[in-house]
Amino acid sequence: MRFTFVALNFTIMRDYKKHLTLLPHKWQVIGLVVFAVMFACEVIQYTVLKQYEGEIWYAYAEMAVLVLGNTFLLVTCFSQERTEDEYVTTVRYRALTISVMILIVSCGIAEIIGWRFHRYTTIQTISMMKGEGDGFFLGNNPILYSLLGILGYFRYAANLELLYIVLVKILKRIGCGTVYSSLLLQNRYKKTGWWLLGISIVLVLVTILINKYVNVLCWYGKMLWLVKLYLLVCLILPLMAYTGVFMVCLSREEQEDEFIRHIRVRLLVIFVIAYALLSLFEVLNIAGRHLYSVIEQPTIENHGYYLYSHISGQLLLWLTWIPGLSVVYALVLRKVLSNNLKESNDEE
Amino acid sequence: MKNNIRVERAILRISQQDLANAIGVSRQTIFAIENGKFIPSTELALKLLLLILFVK
Repeated sequence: MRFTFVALNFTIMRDYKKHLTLLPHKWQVIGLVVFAVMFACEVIQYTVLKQYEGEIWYAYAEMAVLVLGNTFLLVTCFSQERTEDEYVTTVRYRALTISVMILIVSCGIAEIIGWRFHRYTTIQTISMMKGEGDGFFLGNNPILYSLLGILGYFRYAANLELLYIVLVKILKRIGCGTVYSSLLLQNRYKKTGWWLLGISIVLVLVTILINKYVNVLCWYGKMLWLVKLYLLVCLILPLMAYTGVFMVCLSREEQEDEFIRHIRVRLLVIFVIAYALLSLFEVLNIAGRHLYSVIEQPTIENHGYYLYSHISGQLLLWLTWIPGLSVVYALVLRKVLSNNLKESNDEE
Repeated sequence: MKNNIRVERAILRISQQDLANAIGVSRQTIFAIENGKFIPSTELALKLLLLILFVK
């Protein structure tokens, strides 16, 4: 398999009649063994090791559960069924598209409620000014906080994989139409999506520059409307970015026939696999750091905090950031389609 | 899986674009099918066959 990234010349994307190869069926058995080991670790963690919470063996068990759980999901997702026929392939594609749609929507909602901008820009500044902290936008609403927790958790590939496995099982039972009956938005949304995405990128750059050179929040007493406008923009940005991403990635081409859909689905599969592998790497990184924090600072009781802060603070967070990946997906799709069009033009 | 759509198209003097328009797909699709890069669905294959038979 040749893979030249710079020229975006994917051999795997050129021979469209070939199916992307999944792991052999026996990997599902290996996945189940991994799951059994993970379950055993979980049981040991909450029974035998409970009294040693905060110590190294407890941390090993925590780490093992995290890594083995992710490996089990990855292996189960991308290995063949006992009989892997066209119907199962169709079900897989459909389940994958629905899972990705749910992933983008849930991440977007989590972001809107306040996953990143709320955390980094508003909480600190508003709490500084008003002493209210987190309650400013969420209004101390426990339901919103729970929703934020649940939806924010969807960012991790493990949940995408879990959703995908469940959907494959359900769709296999109830049927799913053909892979070519489209779930996508109409073509006119694509243009709107690019506009929204472009504007949100410009606004992000503007807010970064403002944050760097001017402290808008110092004007709280003088120009309240400006501060409010700034905070509103910070809050609306994620909504704009995710809506743009959703529209760009999940709307049809001008003439969306089965060949274009085939390319789209193939590319989606490649990106989901890349996302899952990056996430697994991220989990390994988190687990390693968690273990390190336990070894280095054995007196600190709440190691969960370290786990969380490492999750949100790493470079890998950006690599697995949904809008970033989605934009790359959209650009590669454009490139593959234009290459194909050029080839057909040359021949004509 | 080889096919002779290109030959049939040449015999009938139809361009890729005309064929694509007639069965409601893009020219890229016809190009990919002719070059064996893409295997069409049964529905599309039947449409192609019926069109070629009809023109003949």
